[in-house]
Amino acid sequence: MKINDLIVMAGKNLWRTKLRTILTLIGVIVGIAALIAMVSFGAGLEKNITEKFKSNDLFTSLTISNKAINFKDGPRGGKMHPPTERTAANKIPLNDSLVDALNQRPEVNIAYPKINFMVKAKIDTTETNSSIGSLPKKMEKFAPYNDLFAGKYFSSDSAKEAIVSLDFLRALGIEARTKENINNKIKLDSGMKIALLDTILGKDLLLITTNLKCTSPLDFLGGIENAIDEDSTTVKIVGVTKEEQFSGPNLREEILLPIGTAKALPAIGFDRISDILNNQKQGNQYNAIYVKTKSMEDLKNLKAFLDEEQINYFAIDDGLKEMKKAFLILDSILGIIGFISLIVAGFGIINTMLMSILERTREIGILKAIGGRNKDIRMIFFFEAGCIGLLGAVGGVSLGYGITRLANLIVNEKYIKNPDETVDLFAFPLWLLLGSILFSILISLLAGLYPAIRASKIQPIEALRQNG
Amino acid sequence: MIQLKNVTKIYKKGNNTIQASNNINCSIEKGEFIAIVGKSGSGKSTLLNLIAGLDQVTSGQIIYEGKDISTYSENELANFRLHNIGIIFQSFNLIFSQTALENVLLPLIFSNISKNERKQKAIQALELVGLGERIHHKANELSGGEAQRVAIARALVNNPKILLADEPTGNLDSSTTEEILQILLTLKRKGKTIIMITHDLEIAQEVADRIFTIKDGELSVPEKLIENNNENK
Repeated sequence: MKINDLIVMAGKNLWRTKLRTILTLIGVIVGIAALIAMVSFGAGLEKNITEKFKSNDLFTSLTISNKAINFKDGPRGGKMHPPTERTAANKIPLNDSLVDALNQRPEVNIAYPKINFMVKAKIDTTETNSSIGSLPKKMEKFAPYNDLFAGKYFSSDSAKEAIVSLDFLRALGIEARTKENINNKIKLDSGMKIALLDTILGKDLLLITTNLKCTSPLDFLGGIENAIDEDSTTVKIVGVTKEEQFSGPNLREEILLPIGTAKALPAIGFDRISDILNNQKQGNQYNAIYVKTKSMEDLKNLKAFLDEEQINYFAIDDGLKEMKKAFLILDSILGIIGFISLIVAGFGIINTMLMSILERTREIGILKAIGGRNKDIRMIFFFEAGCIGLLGAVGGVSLGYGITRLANLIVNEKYIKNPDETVDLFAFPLWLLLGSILFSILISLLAGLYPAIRASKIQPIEALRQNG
Repeated sequence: MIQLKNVTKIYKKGNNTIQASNNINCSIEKGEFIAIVGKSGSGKSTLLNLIAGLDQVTSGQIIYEGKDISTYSENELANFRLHNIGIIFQSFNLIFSQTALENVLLPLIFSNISKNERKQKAIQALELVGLGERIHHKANELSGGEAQRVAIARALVNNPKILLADEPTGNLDSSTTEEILQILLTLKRKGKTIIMITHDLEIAQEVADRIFTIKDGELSVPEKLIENNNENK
């Protein structure tokens, strides 16, 4: 029999028992939709995280630190060092010489020290406490700073300029929006006022920093007010960063300053406090140095160099392998749940096909009497099962897609504050769509296998004796 | 063309055995119209099913064009039926959810011929039995006579050498019976070998070249019929 004859015949036979076919199809559609929704969620999560890491160049970045905060089972990037070395300090101090030396290395695109501290920040009459981070001018070429939400990057390393985050603006009661979304009033928290992004840019930002007057912890004994001093500096807001769910090293800071400007500000850095409390003067000028390599291969080479020099570091790509394993487990669990739904649908197909065989026994006898071979009969029922699988897959993919779009819409409406920064929680890679369709057909064919074999084995003479 | 040699068929029903065909021997030539006459339960349908390869002999041989079909596998028998045999049933055995044309197309679908050729052949077969105007009617919308004509068209469409008719007029009124018999005679004149089962001796005498009677699974040729046949033909 020709394939198109089998398809036409399967369609007609299924249409003869519309209700039963539709009910069986619903089973397959729900199964596939569940599978699609589950796996696309896992895939979406993985895609969002890895893409965010990639877009922030995190796979070509590492952080050199005085004492490594370790990712999993050891300092300095994980497995390379035994656990006994976990708290070992660097032999080389983290200072400008090391920054310069790193910048000279062929693998390195840029290395710059981590300078961060707390400030009291004020725009117009509203103020909030916020954290400061700093970036060199050269970073404007690199993600995510090469693609700001609004405005431009610093004009120089010593410019009196700042780039702020949307969260910082929110802390000041400002919901900054693009022109396109300025009238979108949903999702606005109480007490917030909407402002056009363009009106934020160019505003003066007053930074009130706290500095230590003392040089020894003993100075604190005379009272905190004798030990600290306050200074204020005004900078101009030149840019706004994108909202990041998975931030890079600097993105947690709500205000970014040019590195020269930040260095010049009299402020207590977190590193200096830690130095005072630990009383460990190792010649460290900085608590950490950020390094961006030219490629992932360069990152590997740089790590080898740092290991050799016994310098602690943390690189996100070490965590990536663990993360991938976790995603694999998550995807498997979600996939299994969807798979079970499809198996249940498979039993529905078996039931439908067996019912159909019972009802059409005489017809099978007729087909055999007029020259139908066992193979032909098998294929007729096999194609009917396959058609259920294909139609179910198409319906299931559509339903699954619809459900995930709806879920995405709800999440964005309910939890995402800025309509300019919506997220897509689900991913539909081609392999998932094609795989689901093929998988549905496969399950349907497997489910149709037994009924088809059973139908083909019916003896024509017995079948023709049946009433019907 | 067809030779039956010591054909025996025994059915088992629980502890009982039923001998439906008992050591049957006969030979049928190409182009003959054979009638097998017997009462209900005499074993005539069993004999037809054995010749059609729908049932297996318990012992004996059915030789078709020099080959023993009783040794054929299920698929070989299906091919044998597809290319050599057309079967007409008393109860038509049409697929009632399909149109007359779709029913007639079925054997051609198994023959793997092109769609256009199929349609052409099916329409020709339906026109031959006088149903050219009713091809798109569902089988359940047709009268008994029309349904049987569709069944004949379906049996003919693959141009088989042998037509096996199991009580083809059993469910029909007298005028329709006459129409069907005329169609069968036309086919006989076109060179088809026809084996017809009937319980009605008069019908058999009207159309058959040779008549066999069957009783308790035993086939015989009544002397009287031979004489009549010789006089009439």
